[in-house]
Amino acid sequence: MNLTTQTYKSLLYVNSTATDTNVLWNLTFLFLGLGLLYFIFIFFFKNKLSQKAVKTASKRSELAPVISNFLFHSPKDSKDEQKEYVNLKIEIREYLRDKGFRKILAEILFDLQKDVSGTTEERLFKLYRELGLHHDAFAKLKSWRWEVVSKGILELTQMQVGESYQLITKFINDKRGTIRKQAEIATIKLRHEGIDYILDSTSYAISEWQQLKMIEALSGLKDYEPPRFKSWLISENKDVVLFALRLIKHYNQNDAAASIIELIKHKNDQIKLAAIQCIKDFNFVEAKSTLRDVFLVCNDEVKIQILGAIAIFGNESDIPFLNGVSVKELNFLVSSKARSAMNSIAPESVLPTKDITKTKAAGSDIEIPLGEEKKPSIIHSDDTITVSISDEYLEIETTDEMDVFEIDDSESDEIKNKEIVDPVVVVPEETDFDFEEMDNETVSSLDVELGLLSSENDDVYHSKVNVEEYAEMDFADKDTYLENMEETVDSKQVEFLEIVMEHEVESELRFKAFKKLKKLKTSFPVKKILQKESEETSEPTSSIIVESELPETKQSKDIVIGKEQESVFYPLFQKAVDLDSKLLLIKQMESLGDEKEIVFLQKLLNSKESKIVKLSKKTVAVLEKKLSDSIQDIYANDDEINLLDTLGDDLINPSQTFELENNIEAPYIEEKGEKDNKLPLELCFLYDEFGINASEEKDDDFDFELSEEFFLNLSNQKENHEH
Amino acid sequence: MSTSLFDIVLEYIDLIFLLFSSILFCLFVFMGYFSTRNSLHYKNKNSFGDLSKVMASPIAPTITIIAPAYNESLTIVENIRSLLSLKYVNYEVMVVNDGSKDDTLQKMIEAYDLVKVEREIDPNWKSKPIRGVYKSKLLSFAKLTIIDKENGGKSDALNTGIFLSESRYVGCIDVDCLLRPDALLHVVKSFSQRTKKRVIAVGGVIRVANSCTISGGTLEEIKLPKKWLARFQLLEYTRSFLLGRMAWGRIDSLLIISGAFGFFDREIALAVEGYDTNTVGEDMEMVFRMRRYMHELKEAYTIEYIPDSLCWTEVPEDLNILVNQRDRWTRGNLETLYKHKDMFFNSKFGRLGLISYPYWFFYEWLAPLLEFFGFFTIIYFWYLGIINWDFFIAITAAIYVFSITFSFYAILWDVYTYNEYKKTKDILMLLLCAILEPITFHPILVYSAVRGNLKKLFRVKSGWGSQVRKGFAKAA
Repeated sequence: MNLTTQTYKSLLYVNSTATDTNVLWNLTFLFLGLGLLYFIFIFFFKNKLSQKAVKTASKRSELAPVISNFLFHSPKDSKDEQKEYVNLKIEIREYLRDKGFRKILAEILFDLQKDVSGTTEERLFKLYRELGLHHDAFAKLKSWRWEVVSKGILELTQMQVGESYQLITKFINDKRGTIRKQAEIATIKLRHEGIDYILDSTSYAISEWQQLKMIEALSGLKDYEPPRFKSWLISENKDVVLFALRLIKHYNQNDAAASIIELIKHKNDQIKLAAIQCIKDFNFVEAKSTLRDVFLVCNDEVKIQILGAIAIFGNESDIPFLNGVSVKELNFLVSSKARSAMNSIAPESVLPTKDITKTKAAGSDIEIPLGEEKKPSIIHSDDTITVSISDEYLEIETTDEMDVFEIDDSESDEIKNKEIVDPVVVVPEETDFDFEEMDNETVSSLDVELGLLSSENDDVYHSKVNVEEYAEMDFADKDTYLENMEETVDSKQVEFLEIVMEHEVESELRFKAFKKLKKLKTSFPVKKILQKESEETSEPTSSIIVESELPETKQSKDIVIGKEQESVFYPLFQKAVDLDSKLLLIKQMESLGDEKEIVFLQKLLNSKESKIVKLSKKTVAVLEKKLSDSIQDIYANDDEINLLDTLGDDLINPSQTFELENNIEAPYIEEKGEKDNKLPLELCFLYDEFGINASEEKDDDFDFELSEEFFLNLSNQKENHEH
Repeated sequence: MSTSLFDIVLEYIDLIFLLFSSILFCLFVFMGYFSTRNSLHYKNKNSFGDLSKVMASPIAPTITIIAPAYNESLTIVENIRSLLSLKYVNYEVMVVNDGSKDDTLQKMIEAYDLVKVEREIDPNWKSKPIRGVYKSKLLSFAKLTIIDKENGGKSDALNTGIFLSESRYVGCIDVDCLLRPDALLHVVKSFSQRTKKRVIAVGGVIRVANSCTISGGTLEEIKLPKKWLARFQLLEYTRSFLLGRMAWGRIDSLLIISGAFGFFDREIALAVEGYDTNTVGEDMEMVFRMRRYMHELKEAYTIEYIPDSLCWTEVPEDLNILVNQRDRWTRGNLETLYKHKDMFFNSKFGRLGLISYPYWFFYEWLAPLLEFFGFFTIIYFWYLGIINWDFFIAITAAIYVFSITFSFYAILWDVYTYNEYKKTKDILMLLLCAILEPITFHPILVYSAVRGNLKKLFRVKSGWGSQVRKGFAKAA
């Protein structure tokens, strides 16, 4: 072998180093040697690991009876057993001089501790000390190696060596993270006041994981009385503040409202989030204004949490704020959360508008003539248009004087005539016109032109705002307001009057509202434009049903406005996991339900489960009958009143009209031992005011009405007495 | 060509190869050192303490596992069952059906009693349209969410999942991956144990599950793969994950998190707009972007790496599928490096620009090309009769033995730290693989890399390719 071969001749400025082949061979042998060494180590470690496992297992089985003898020994044992116990003690003392033995014994006891509890666990701790194994753990605390110190702390903690507390607390501010973390856990586990010491003295950051572990350690303490953690909300260590907030939440300490609310303004987002979480959990309503104040300067995550909090304890007064966020906020998740919060405060105040497919309600078509352009203001009889109401529950009432559709072209008269003659039903229609092709602008302008939607954004809350304004008025203003109310047939007007009737304290005003309402409803025909709830696809669709008062009405429609969620059974039904539970719930509706349940049940008629459909149908029939009986009794008048009108928004079959007797009677309340059919006391008083009498006893078997004969006898008896 | 010019070319070739090889030797030695230190530190640090105790903590952070599924009807039900059995309290499994042509969705609906639920979607979110969001009617599967969307590729599916998730952390995994029950605890610990730096992503080791016994979605018995191709990949994965990435993790310069097991801080992932749908190396590219983003934000951050065997997956046992996979990896690598070329030796990005990027450029992208070139050069020189055979044999032997030694070292660490393969026969087989690999398996990888580069160079349209999953149930 040529040992000094120069590989290439030098030709230019840059030369490769002349590599000695011998060096390469030396390197090869070096790597080969290393490879062999690794090969040996691989099997060495493999055998060592398996041998260690075998050795530990054999030692464990060898020492198990000894340890159990120690653990379960009692002074009441027989003499032989006592003797054996003493011998074992002497024997084990000998073994304990061996460091290896002590190590294995400590490991076994340490492992055993994980599996025992109660008295046995206490005996195990005692045994650990009696064998002097804790001295080894103390020795570990003096090591310079962090892993040894950590193991020592862990051992002393798990074996509940109380006197190690002072030693361990010295490591609370150790610069080596693992030791510090181990010391924190130990401090908590060894003494109940350990957490106080940590929160008072730690100068290092506490990681989220460590906080999690410390809370877990606290949870494991017996008879633990947590301190009031609000004391640490003023700490200079932001991690202590954060941890204190989490502890406050964990232990439900709701006596620090002011401090927690103040912490919403903290620079640190995590503290903000933790504070908001507490505010949500403890329902600190007074935090609302602060939450709104800091909203703008927060990041998206915090904003979402703030909106979540407002959704929980917000009220109608927060709607404008939420609406503003929903409109102005650029981040979709935030604006979406704002909409969701609005819906939480005022259910269904915001409805889906995107990708809403139109469905055709069977037999409820109305053909609105469509012009050449897609704008529905020009309506041709040949075409049909699908109209979607996507923003809010809407009503349109048609009158002879008032047009449903504002037609601004030459064909308006024709259209007017058409809608007066026929019941106007506008339903989603997939086949006739692809609504999705229309942009939002067109849709809203269409809605406005159709008179279905006010061009003002706040129209959605119109009736509620009215109620609010009304609520703030004094008696005289209220009286004037009701007096001067325009007698136009507006659904919101009707809704408002119904609310006043229901909630007004002053009977005079209630009566005024009732009179007004009655006047409105008897003066004008019933027209409803209602939004149809979503189909089974969960993509809400809207349908509008305009019903004419004319007797020739061909179709009368169910009034379904996506209100099924108002039913108390709705959430229960959502949570029902199997068919039986659902059927049971439907069955319950039969006895407990009212109009809201009918709406809900009608949605269920679309269910794929035939049993559900069948039972729903039956229950709807029962409920409708029950309601109609009830209504028949409540609303009686000289004139013919359409029940649809009387019920307002609630569902009723409009084909049901009743010839009511002049003699008005309150509904008969059946005594079933349940409250289901009882009327509110307030309504009873109202009936009384209006001179509505209680209905007669309907029970055929028991007649408690006193006969004339009885009164005659009674008067005769009285006369006799007088004489 | 004149002799003098030819000699100059030779001289330069010699110089380049010498420098390249010397640096590579040094890098591998450093890599061994750093990975050893990191492994020892990790082992000591995690030798005590019980993770399971915080498993049910109510304040544990939320995490969503996103698993894209495309034509996975064979294994989907079993795989989801496995994902639902993880030990953690606040987690959600989100399977994104990426427009499967088979009955993947139907199988999921039937198996988990799913119903469509309403979900508000940002109209401006850039991903393929979502057809529906499904939740189970059964409380036992409350953690499961299925997203059905139009086909848009893995990145698009993952982006949809990241967007629809509401958790603090999101995990992007392959749906056929098998996670160890305590995997999420390790991940959450990694995310939340730091105080000085924000952990923006967590990656982990991918283990080879071929031939392992799996029952009820859990790993029953670990076995060495029966097929040689899978065995070579097992060795390669061990070397790459236990030494390579562990070392890069030690110096906080990890540039890649495997697409099969990668967890991200959702806020940062959304800030960088998720995965890039225009590259096949989306996992690496996203880490590049997240790192850049944090650099520009000037916020202290890090990427954690977990060496525990938390994720097990099937590797290709068919040569064509393997070549396609590596071809794709090469293209992804090239696309990412090209996209972020301004980072090359850019001190603004610190170690990232001065060490990580150049390493990826020279030793992940360029090395196979140089090897390929070197191979033909030797044949050519042999043809010209100018090879110094003594030198050639000596240097080949040195490199060959070095590569074997490095593989042995990886096996040693695997035995010392995790000792997954307990049978002596299995370890001997792995050692044999280490000896055979440089002359059998490695040339296949070089070929795949060259093919990937050529495809990219000539803009040959090529997507993801496909891997026919045998399914864990079958493996059992």
